[in-house]
Amino acid sequence: MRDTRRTRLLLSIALIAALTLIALDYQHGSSPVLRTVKNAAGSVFGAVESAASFVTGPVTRFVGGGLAGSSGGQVAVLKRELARMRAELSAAELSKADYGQLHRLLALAGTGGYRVVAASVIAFGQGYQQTVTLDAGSSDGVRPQETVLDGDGLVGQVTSVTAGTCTVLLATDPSSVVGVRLAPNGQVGWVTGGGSSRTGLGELKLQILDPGTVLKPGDQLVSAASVRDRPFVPGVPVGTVVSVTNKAGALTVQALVRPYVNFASLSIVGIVIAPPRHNPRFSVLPPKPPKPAPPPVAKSAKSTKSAKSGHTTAAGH
Amino acid sequence: MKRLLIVAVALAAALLVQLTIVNGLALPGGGAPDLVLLCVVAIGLTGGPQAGLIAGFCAGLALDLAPPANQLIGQYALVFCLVGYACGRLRFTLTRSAVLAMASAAGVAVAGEVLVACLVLVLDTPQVTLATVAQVLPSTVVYDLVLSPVFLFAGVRIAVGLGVNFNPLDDSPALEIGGSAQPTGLADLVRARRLRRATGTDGVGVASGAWLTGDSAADVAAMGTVGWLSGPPTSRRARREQSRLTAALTGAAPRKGSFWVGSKPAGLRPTEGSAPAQQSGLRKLRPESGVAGTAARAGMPARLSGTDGADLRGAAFEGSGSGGLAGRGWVSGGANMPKIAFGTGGLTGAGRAAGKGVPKIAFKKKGPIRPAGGGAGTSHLNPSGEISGGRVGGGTKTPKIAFGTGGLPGSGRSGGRGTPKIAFGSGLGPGLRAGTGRPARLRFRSASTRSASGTWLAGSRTRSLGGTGPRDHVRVPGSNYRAGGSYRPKTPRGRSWRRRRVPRWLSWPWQKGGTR
Repeated sequence: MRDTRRTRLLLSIALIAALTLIALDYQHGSSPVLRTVKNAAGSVFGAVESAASFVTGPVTRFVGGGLAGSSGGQVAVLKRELARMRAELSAAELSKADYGQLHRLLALAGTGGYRVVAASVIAFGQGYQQTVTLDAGSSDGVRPQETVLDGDGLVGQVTSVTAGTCTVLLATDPSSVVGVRLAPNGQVGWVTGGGSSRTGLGELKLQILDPGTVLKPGDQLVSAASVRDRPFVPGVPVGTVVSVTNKAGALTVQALVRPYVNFASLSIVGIVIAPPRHNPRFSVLPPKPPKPAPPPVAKSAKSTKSAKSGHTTAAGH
Repeated sequence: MKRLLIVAVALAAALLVQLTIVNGLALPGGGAPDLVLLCVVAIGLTGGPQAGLIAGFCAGLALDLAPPANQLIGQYALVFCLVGYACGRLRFTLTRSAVLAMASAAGVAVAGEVLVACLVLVLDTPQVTLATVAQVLPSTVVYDLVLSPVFLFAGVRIAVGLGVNFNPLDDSPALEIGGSAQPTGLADLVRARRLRRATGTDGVGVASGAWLTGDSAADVAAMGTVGWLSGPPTSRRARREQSRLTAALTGAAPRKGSFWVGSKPAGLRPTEGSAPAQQSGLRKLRPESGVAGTAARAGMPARLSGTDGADLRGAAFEGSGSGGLAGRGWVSGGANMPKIAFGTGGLTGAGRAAGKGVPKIAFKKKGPIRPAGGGAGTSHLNPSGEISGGRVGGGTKTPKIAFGTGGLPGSGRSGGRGTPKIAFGSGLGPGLRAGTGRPARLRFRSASTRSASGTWLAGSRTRSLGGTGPRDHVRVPGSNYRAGGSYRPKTPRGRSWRRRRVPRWLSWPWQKGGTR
């Protein structure tokens, strides 16, 4: 440690190496060398993480669930959550909670007709990135650009896959863009992430292409089909509009959307490995709190039409 | 090797905990503490620039590559290697004061977080806006601030356990060949030579090095660090350990320039005027403060004047050093020859009664040294209390030396510049107040004295121990100074603690021998 000249040399080497890596990764994001390195590191670290999550998983789920409940904000819900959490102190209860999540996931997948691979979250992104790692990989049939959902709705999309793990870009990430449809009339738009999921309030930003659209708080959103159903399969519940933030002169109608999924307490999720045979349209949506409000038949037919050509419509606008 | 392993395990554990638990927690504010960053900070502060740099780069790269990572590869590596290096350069704070060290750890951690945020803003997807950063960054910073002392504490504890040397000299670019403390110009050379002649030191760095002026203080405070960290003893074992390693500073120096080492001799009271009145609280060990072990005069280069022909064998030094010889004060040279009393009580006379101008180094003669009074420990390296061949030519007599007294903790500030304290929680008890007459205590732990032994003795002062006698006899193990006075900075670190000949667990029977 004495030779500071050598230390400075080392420092400059390290800095140059880091900058070179950044530059390489920045220029060609899909540089084969870096990708290979990242894949190798991913499988190594992923294996370690999935091993570690055996130990740490219950802790995360317990704490995450508890804090997420408290961030809901409603006193009644909070009290109920508290009572429930007290009852669920034991590990057995925790696994029962997992079971409940899995059950809801399967119910949602069954309603929509999705074929899912169930997986659990083993690691969370660092810093400003809204990503998670799941313990299912290519050996389970997971491929990049597949939809990830849980029992409540859309979680995100798979971005990279190793043999045993995959990385999911959450819908709350600022770089995530999800095509959506407005529930009653099938208006097309997209939501981007607000950037913070940890608070449990990570709201998404919605933009609807049709400037004439009138948005109301409480309007529900489902995912619109992507081209060949990748990365997003149609019909997955995304969230509800909480407030309209129209700006004068904006080309699009803007609003804030609260996602159905509680991103602060993700644990069991499903990766859609096969899209539904028929577009489930709005059938997967949970009932609206005030009134179930099934969409009118006539409009539904219209929206079916537009749903089929959903992507081209969006492009046409 | 062991250190490497521990660092690697700590970083891996921090990474895994960070990714699998901490990032998943929904903490208020939306942020999450960055354990890996804090780990790098702790490693840098305890291990030095190079260790911090390498650890930071590796940890950052791992964070860039570990699966949920979505950012550009190299972002965290860039930030963390800078953080590690900065912490390493700030390592001297660790030996100055606890608050300073904690502040620097917190400061670097915050700087690291801000740097990460800047890189994200610049390099990552443009959707990450300032608003997003402003939302997450404050809480992240707060969590880091809260956790950084914890990590620093753990890091220092582990480092001390591993025998890491906190000597900031090692990090000093000033001492590098061609560094600023190296005498380069003619004036510097002249000054250094003058100093060398005047002090018996070789004057490296003394001439112009601000680093060196702080060096002895830093070493001392390094032990204070550990004292702070060790806290008061809570168990019998800890008390025994402490009594072994604690050296009592008498609150008084009978005469300016006298140097008391070891236990407080019975009946010694602070003489009037010898110890400047200090109201309360920690007493600063500054030159001329009159506290034993401090420099007698400000600005005096350290010096332990031996007598002519003094023949201090290496063994003696080794014993004393490893036994916790921390005392490094500047014993006044000048007309008055220093009186040094090493050892235990009963040497009072030796220390004080020396006539003017009669240099005397009195050591307790053979037999096990009792940890008397203030708890001067015996040298476990030399449990018999006798060092074969150790000899001080103090006039006609050549007494055998029992050199291995416990610590001489209160080494003085190297003078002149500022008045750094041993304030790193050195646990100066209430007994230190002037006028109580009770021995003041400094609590130190073994590891630090271990680590200090080499460098302490390595200091230029030590070399003057031989006085004008044959210097080649002074051979300090683990020292940077070789026989003949050549300064060899390439000595591998950590040699001194490996040199322990008698394991600690073997030493206690002798040590307890005094009380049984």
